[in-house]
Amino acid sequence: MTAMLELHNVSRRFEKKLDSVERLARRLGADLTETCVNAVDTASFDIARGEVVGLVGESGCGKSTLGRMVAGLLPVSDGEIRFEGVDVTDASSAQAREKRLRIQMIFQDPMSSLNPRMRVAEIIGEAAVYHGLTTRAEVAGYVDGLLEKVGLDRAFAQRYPHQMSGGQRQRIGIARALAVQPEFLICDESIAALDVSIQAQVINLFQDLKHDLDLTYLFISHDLGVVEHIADRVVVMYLGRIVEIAATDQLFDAPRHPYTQALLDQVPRLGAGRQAFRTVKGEIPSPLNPPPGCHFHPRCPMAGPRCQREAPRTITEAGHSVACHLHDGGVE
Amino acid sequence: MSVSAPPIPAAPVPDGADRWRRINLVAGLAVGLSLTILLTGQGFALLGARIVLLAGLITLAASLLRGRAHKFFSGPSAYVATASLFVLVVLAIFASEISPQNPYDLRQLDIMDGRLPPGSTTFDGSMTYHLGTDEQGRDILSGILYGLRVSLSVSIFATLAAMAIGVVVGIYAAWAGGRTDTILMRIVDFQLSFPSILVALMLMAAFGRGLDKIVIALIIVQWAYYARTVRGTALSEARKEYIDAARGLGLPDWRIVFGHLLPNCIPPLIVISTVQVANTIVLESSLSFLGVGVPITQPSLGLLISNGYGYMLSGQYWMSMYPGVALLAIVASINMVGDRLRDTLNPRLQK
Amino acid sequence: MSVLDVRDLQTHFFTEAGVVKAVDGVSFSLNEGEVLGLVGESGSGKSVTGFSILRLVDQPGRVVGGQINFRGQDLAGLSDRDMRGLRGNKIAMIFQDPMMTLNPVLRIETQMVEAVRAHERVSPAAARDRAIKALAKVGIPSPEERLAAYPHQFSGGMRQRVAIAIALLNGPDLIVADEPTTALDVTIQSQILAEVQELARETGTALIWITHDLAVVAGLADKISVMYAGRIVETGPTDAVLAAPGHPYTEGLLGSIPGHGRRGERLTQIPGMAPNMARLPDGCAFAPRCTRASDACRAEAPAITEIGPGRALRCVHPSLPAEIAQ
Repeated sequence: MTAMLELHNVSRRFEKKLDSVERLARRLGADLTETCVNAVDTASFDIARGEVVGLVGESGCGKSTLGRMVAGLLPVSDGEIRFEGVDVTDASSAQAREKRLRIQMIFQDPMSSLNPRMRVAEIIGEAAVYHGLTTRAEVAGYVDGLLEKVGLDRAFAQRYPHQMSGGQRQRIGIARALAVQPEFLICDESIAALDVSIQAQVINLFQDLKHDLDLTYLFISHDLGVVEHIADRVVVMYLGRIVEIAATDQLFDAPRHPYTQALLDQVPRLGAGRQAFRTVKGEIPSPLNPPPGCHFHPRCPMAGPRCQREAPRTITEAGHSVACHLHDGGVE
Repeated sequence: MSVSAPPIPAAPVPDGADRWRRINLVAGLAVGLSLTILLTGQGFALLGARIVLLAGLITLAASLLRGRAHKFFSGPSAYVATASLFVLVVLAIFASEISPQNPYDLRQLDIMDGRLPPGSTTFDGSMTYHLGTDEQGRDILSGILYGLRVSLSVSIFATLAAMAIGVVVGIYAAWAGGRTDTILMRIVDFQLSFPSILVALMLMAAFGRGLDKIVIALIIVQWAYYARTVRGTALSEARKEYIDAARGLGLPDWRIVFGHLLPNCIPPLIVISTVQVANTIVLESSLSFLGVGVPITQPSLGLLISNGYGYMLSGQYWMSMYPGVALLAIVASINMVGDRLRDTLNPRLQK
Repeated sequence: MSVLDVRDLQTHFFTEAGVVKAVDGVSFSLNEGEVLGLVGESGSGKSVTGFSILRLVDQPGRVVGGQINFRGQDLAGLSDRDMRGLRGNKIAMIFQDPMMTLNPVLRIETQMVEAVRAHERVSPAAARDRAIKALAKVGIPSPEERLAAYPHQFSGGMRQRVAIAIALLNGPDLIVADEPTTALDVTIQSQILAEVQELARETGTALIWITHDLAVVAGLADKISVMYAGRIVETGPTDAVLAAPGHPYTEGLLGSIPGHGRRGERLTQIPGMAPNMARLPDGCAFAPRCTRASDACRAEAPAITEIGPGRALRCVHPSLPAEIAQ
């Protein structure tokens, strides 16, 4: 069975070339170099229909960039993205654009993700009318149905964003995405900005919608607890590269990559009682200047000479993928 | 229903924002249209156009302040400024009805009445020169009223037109980015690096005299300022997630720019353009004072000031002083109103 | 030895929408070396409590009642000048955004030396030495070189460490930390938590850790106080409260947190929305959202009652019997 979403060696580079003035300055001795940031470096994985895949990592790991590439909001530098078998890497063909519409994104910041000057009814209904999913005459009913689906009273249709709380705004964002009848939702830290009790409401909503509307999710989050709760599989990224992919149980019970192990070790857990916080040393390196070879080697307790020379390959075994020399012949 | 909890209720909230938006659009068009008619075709004779203009201005002001009126009128200075601005605007609009004399109709002048001090009357006692006359026998008070009219209409029109051009250029530069943005902004920088009065002088020297020409010069001098401001706002708004959401929803570029981006770039301009009207009045008066502005057949506060300038030392102060006071009054009240407006509209100062 | 004893603290905000009782009768105490976790969601008043202790509440807010006894001295009655002598000296604060502490146009050295010399007459060289020691203590590598840097040359985690170092410079008896690790990555957060834990043990500094993250509090704090709508609704030793919460709000919060082995199950949803602080109901502030609310709760707000040694509860329908062992 072909997967619903396939990523093949997708990369995103940000290059800052020097302009003519800077080139001149360099010739005169200024210390200027062209910078190239590999925000995402050859990421490959698949998502099957109906799955919830969690994408985790810390700042600079590239998870948001990856999410935006899948959503079509950022161009892809290298590699290929296929959705339901169709190449959607760039929106050149009508078929690609049509498929792109089935992928929608739920954003992080409830403040800035809604147009402050539009009423809720317009925010939700605009795209649906534009794409012909409903007519101008029927859009009010369409919007009401969507509001009901996300658990809001239909009176919200006449509100403006500033008249609503963060949790309510996030629900409007979800309704807006659902308005174009997507099959695939990307949640980019969608609950990070909400209070704990509101987070619980929205997480429950995501699960309900998944069952009712047969949706597939890519759930990007830095909160491992939430990902453990909601995801079927988890992808772990570090500094632009995927370091581990596994089913949730496997990942949380028996992580293979040293970074994943460190990450799981350090998440404060409720049931753990008073703990001595175990730490991994060092700072997250700057994406401008990543360490050579395996990006994690300066902080890895099990690093060896090979880790500095060679970037690890991804080895997959029984659905569990790891990019670490420890599982590929050793670190010498 | 997919959620087991009952839907979150929304408390009722009264507002008629949609209706106001339509009203604003109509009022804005009315102001623009009537100003165009007054400045070009008929001169200022059309009473109907003037009434439409006044109605439009009042409507725009009311909609700006709705719900915020008590915040705007926070102290005595706000009342004074608004009242004086309102009075001056009404005087300017109905100048031809109010003033005792049309100082630019040569048939109404009597050179024998020249340089009379304030309070004097005509030879036959039919009319009092409340603020005196200038050397041609023109009633200063009437001159001020007519001059206010020209100053205000020229400045408001030039400001609105410059804003329209600047907004288009600024948003286009922000949205297109890259080389287009660089080129347009370098043009803006170039324009802004010259002092406005110098540019205006050069343009008027090139164009010659005329009311329409000074309007064009004022527009050319000002558009760049709006372009730069709007570009900054547009850049930061374009980065916000609701624009990303609109792109993700497959909406076409033009719809995003005009429907989503543009309305969110306008609010900062409201205060800027109000204060700019005052600056434009000063600029126009300066040009007229220097003799390269409004032609001498048309009234202008600057011209009045420059006419009477030579007589200051001989004690006939009224010819320059009263027009100067009028200029001060209009500029100060616009600035004070603009100041209050900025404090009222500033979201950070709210609550 | 008691470092801080807050009694019935009240901070009100006088806004156009009405009087907002951001802190409405908060009491707690703290001994040397103890860590108190002050937990709540947005609008609960936890941050305002922290600011009130340092008397940093700005208009339109004001501390309107209660006592803040710091080593026996009531801070509420101190003059501005005396309060300034204490701030940054014996009582320090760490904010969520380190840029609230750090001036972006000054070098770290300048800021730290100034912080020392504001409270003690020492030579610049001696102050600089103290700064280097403080930076080393919070785990900043090569502190002598880093002193010359500007804040923007540090990463977010480093900046927060510098802010912590500044708080520690003058050996405070009490540190109030307002969500200092919320904006940081997990690995950095755990480093900072480890360092803070060790420092508190070493120096005997009392610590108030304000956060919404129960998991952090679980690992770090000796005592926990849960706030809702400006009042403390439950307080007690951390392990006891988290293992067996008494107040329905605490219960709801704990149930809202995903993870720890409840994969796929529906999370507990606290029904309703956060209260409108300008229009609180007459009875218990949590009653509109409480599954156990009765008319008694809605009529009169319950007082906080002690239900065990060190444990108190503001509820007439607790989840536990009135008498509990620790």
